[in-house]
Amino acid sequence: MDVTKLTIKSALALLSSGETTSLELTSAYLERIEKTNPSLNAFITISKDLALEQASIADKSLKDGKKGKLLGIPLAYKDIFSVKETKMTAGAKVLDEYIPQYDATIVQKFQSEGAISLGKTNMDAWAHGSSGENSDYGPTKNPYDLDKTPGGSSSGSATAVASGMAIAATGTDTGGSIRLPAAFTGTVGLKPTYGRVSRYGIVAMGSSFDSIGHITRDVYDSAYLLELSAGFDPADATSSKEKVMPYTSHIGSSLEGKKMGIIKEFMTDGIEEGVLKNWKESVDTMKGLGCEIVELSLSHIDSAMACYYVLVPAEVSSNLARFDGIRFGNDRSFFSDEAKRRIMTGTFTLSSGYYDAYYKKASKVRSLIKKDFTDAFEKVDCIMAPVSPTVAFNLGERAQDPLAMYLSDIFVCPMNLAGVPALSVPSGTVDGLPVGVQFIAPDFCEERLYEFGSAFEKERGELNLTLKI
Amino acid sequence: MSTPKITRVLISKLATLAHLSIDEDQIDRFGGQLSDILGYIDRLNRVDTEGIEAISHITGKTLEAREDISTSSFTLKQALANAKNTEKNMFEVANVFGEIE
Repeated sequence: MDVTKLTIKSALALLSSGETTSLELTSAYLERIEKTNPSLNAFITISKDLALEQASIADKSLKDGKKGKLLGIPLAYKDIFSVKETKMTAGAKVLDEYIPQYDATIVQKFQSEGAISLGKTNMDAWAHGSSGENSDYGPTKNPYDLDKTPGGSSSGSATAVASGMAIAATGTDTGGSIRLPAAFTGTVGLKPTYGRVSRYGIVAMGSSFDSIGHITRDVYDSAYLLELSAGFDPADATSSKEKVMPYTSHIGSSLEGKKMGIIKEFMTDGIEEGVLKNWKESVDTMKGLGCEIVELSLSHIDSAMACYYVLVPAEVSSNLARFDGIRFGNDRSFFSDEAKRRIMTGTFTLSSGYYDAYYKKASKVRSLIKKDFTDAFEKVDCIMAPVSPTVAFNLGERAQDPLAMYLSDIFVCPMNLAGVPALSVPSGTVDGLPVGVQFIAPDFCEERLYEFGSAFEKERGELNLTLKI
Repeated sequence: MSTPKITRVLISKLATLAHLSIDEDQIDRFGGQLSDILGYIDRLNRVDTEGIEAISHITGKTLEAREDISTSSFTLKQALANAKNTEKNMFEVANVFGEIE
């Protein structure tokens, strides 16, 4: 069985027809992890015994005719999601010995549908990063070029799915941390609307930004998982009561006559030649599908990055205050540089004398950015944008320059400021490395992401990518 | 306002406020990096925000309270499970008062 080609949909079909069992499937993924993880470092914790035990139970359930939307399907969780009794580090040595005493709501939801837990994936510590290089457990490698980053902070989840170590993996996207690694690894990455998916049981980074999503092998699987993860959670007061749509039924809709926006301000000199060429081809693809392309100006989007780096470190400094080494975790001397840098930046902008000039000012700019998106969606059904100005960059290239690293997120962080949902879909390759585009929709209109994303994916056709292992 | 000068004194003060220990080497390194970051953030001053309200929940939810009924939470064992130092079912903390002058 070639686990590097399976999707949730195809695996469910194989299980349903009896062509495979969950034990066989899970063992195949565990073997693949054993073979490739030493080189790729996608997993911090591999839950071999748990996974095999869950798989046996799943097989019995399947035999007994029990139903479960993910029954027997092996998933991985970014190591920021609490899985009861399984070590959780958030990529940080502060939590090196931390064992959650409860499951995150999303973990509960997926497990109640019969999902198998393969383990916890590597990530930038505290989700601070765009490359995986801020992990206290060593960086994850890009499976298409081991000298390159897979993007971050959901680096392990992206590499795991791309290289066939898991059928799908969860992630969090606070400033692009699902979409960027998805684009760098040729996978599909969803950032839902802020509040669409419960944050309960997930280590908080920026509480007004964190969006809980997932990385999958195709657009259908992404829609399928969102149907299961979306919805109000009484344990998360910021979660929305907006109706959860049947996202999978929007796959394959016609785009004839639909209006698709492109953001004028994103067309900058900083985009690499190969990426720009692929972008233009992608826009042509959408035209070919019947879309009317509308040029939009989001006049405050150039301030998005600066706005982000005031508000998020401020929220980070507050959220990381709980790690005092008393009730859980190691003491604060275990924080690495990036965490310290962000905590101090946040402490500064929230401090007396500076709060109005920085935090309050940035909150107002955030309102303006939100309004830019709301106004844009009066004119178009969906917006398409590049995900990154470059393809995956070399490990070590930006690690010593925090500001250069922050600027990796220039096309992805505005959506977190605005709260809107976005889906990163692979759009091709540049010199053997994956490149992606993202579709953006109004709040709680994820079904549009799946309409546009699935049509694009089908028209794009097969990707020409070769895994190194 | 223009970017304040990021002095060693300021870095040390921030570290103290945030309960972080940083050494001399880190003071130098962080000072430069923080200057860069704050310099970049400065561009927000060019944005006209006159009359603009800040949003708190970015996708429209307002505060919602639940019924005031008690529900089960952690057991004592679970609550203490990750603590390094406990005594008689309590979290043990370092002396908060230090030396009394």
